[in-house]
Amino acid sequence: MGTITRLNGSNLYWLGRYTERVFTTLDSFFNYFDLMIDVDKDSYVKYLEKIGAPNIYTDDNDFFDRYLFDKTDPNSLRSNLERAMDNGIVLREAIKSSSLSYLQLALNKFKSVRGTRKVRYDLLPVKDDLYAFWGSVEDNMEDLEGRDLIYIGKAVERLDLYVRLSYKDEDIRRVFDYMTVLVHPYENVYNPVLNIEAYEGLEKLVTRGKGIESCRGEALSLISRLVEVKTDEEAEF
Amino acid sequence: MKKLSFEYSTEFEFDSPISSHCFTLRCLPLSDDRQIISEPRYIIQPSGGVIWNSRDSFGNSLLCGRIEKPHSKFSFSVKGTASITSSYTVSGKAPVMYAYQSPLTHPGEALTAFYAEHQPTESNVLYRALALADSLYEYMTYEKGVTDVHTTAEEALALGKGVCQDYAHIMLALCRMGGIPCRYVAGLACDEGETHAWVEVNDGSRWYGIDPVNNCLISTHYLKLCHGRDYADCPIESGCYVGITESRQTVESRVTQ
Amino acid sequence: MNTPVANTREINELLARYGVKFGIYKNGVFKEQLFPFDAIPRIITRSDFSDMEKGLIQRVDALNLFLKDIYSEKKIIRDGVIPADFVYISKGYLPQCEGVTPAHGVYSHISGIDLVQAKDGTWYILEDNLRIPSGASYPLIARELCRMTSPDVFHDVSVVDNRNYASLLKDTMDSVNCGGINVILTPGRYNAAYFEHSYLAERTGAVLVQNSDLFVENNILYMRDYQGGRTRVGTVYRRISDEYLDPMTFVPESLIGVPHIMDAYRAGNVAIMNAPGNGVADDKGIYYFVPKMIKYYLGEEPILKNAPTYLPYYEEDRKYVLDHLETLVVKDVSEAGGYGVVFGRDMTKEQLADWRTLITEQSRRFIAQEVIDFIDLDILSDDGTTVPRKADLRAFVLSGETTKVWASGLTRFSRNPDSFVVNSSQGGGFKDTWVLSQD
Repeated sequence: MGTITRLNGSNLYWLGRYTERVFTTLDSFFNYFDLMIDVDKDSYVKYLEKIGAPNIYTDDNDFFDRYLFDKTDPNSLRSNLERAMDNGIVLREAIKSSSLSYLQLALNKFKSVRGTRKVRYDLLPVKDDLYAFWGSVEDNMEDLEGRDLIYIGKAVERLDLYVRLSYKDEDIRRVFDYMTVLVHPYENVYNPVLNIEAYEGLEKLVTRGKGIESCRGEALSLISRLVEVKTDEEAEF
Repeated sequence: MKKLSFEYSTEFEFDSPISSHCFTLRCLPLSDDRQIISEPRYIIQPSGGVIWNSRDSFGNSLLCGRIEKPHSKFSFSVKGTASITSSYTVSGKAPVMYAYQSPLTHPGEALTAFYAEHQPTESNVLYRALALADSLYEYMTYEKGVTDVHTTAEEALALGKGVCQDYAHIMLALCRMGGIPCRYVAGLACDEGETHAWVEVNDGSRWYGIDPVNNCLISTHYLKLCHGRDYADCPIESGCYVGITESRQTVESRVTQ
Repeated sequence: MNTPVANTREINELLARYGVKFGIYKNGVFKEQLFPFDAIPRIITRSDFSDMEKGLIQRVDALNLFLKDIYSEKKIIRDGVIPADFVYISKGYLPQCEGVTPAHGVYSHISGIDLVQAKDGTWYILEDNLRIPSGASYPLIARELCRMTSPDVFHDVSVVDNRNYASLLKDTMDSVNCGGINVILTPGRYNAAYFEHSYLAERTGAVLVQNSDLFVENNILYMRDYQGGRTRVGTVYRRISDEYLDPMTFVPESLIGVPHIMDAYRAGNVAIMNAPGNGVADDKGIYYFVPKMIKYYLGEEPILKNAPTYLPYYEEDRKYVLDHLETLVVKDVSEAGGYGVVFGRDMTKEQLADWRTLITEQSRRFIAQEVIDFIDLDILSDDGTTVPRKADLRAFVLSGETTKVWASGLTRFSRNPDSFVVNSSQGGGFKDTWVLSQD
């Protein structure tokens, strides 16, 4: 405890969010890509609508190439992985070089396979790397609260994406429960700051059993307000 | 022996609030065998920051502090009394660094030419320094607003105008060119509403205070706050903060007998 | 000789995996690139290293005594061994450090001493780096990777393990610690050596911090952590230069410094590694006087030689320099990193004349040295053959309670066959440096 600096608190949280974003969007991209092969080549439009990314692509091939590999496209998987790396690189001594190396491997993979059509095969190792990354963090981080901050980021991102991508209620509920264990909602924790009102609102939605899809907008808005990481010093003085 | 009472205050007003404000103040006069300070008291506003004492490598007494919370005004004031035992001299040897030019005194063409023309011939260090002060006083015109705290001795001499700080810097440059160790002094003087600057030259065993603006030795009406090789070593106030803003500074000082 | 050469491909793959990079600014844009690694190690025999080790300890001890003297009694000036001019005109001399004596009287905790080996086998000191010498992390990680890919080589050849650098560094931080944690202060991830900062933090267990993680109160330095707490800091291994270290004492515009850290340092409440003000001792002009310092402070003959050096400041030397400029190398004393180095043999007639004038007018600004014909080292070229290239060695000497030499070092080579300049900032590569444990 106490070995992670103030500035790096939010890096931990966003490291969790971006690694999760790459993982889950990759997973879901694979499903839509499978449809694009021989069912509906334009199904990506629906996908973009769901995750809330602008459709800036000229056609399915353009989408396919840029959404995965273009680092100048801010919504691309490559860009999100770069952001994960940006947050990770300033945390080397906290998460350890071994953890960081898995992000580097994933990034190297993205750089080297651009142009391939067999993405579901060629990018499979990226999922392996992310699993390995989370496992390595779990094993190697000495600061357990800092480690939890990564997992909280991961859970919040997963909640957001599961709602956007219309995952089943029970899947969403499972992520919500997982997050609850990590954030200790009614304990006085300095970081992260949990918005109790948003938390309780979300709890109502996921436990009422009426289908989260029907209140998608409200759920997403609550999720966006759920957790904040303090990096200012005012609270202290 | 003269008794002086002094009062000095500075206020900064910022157009928009600043925060995480760190500052160092050299406003506490130090006792030496010329001036003995009693009961110095200070007030720093806004309150609620952390204030502590420190000392720099030039021997000055520092007030350091940090105010985290946002504020648009910052002020400090110090008051006390001083017994002045001697008018213009204090014992002490000069550390070698004072024999060398410093960032604000490095001579260029103007100073080199000026020194060549006014090279003093006296053998006594103090007389040589006073002769240089004479030449400088003849040449320069006192004028406010034409120079600032970054103006070098060379620039001020080339301009031919400046304020006490510029006079002091030129004097330092000339003395050092003539092999006389000397230092910059910031302080207060009777009849000055603001802070004042002068120099001290050293003859191997004593420092002598010379006020180049008034072309005289300092008198019992002068109270020293701090010293360094030049202004940059010993600003009375220095600070850094978070915020993008303009500020206005008001200074008041009163020294009475 | 058995080397990891055969596994170059695997080693490079691992270097990429672990992000062994350094940053560089090209046309104002920050880029990170891999530091080119050559798998053929530089090999130093046990007896050679043992001499070098004695010489380096002697030199660094003398330099530390010099720094202590300069910032206190200045006996060496009073006794006429070094002219006061060379100390007080040096940009590295900081009057703001006068009167501060850090723990154990050590100012240079991590000294990077650059050497070259002449064709006759003699080692010469090229320069001392006593401010923020960088580069130790590269051979440190390279060795680890080579041992992964080429275990048999290390089975067959007895090489002293260099992976103790982190523990040497940690011991040094601990031995000067004034109470509190160890931190490494970085200017941020867009610094050329950010990989090194973060890797050394990881390996030594120090916390990597930026200025806004730190604050001073009552002359004590604290770190803020992400849970709103504060922890006292006892040692700062800072990787930012003196002038930006403390905006209250040095450059007021510094955005990467820690306000009042110098007050905490002067009060003896925190160790700063390396101490501020060291620039006065690694100035290229002061270099000339190091052998004299060794005699003066230690009463010993210098074990390691300086390259033959002339100070145009002295009339006799100036005359020699002006007469032999075509064969000499001229160095600007205020520049670092391979900048400000010019060879007389590369100059045109007009340039020679210009330089003669410049050297005469600004005699304190330059030194001139004989060009040492140093040993080329083989490197692997892209087609797998070997080619000879200029190379130097940066030895790392660590001083805390005692002074120790790391049994390795950073061997840098120039990739350009015509260049004598081996700095990474100028496109060079690096090799591991092996010290053999048996003759």
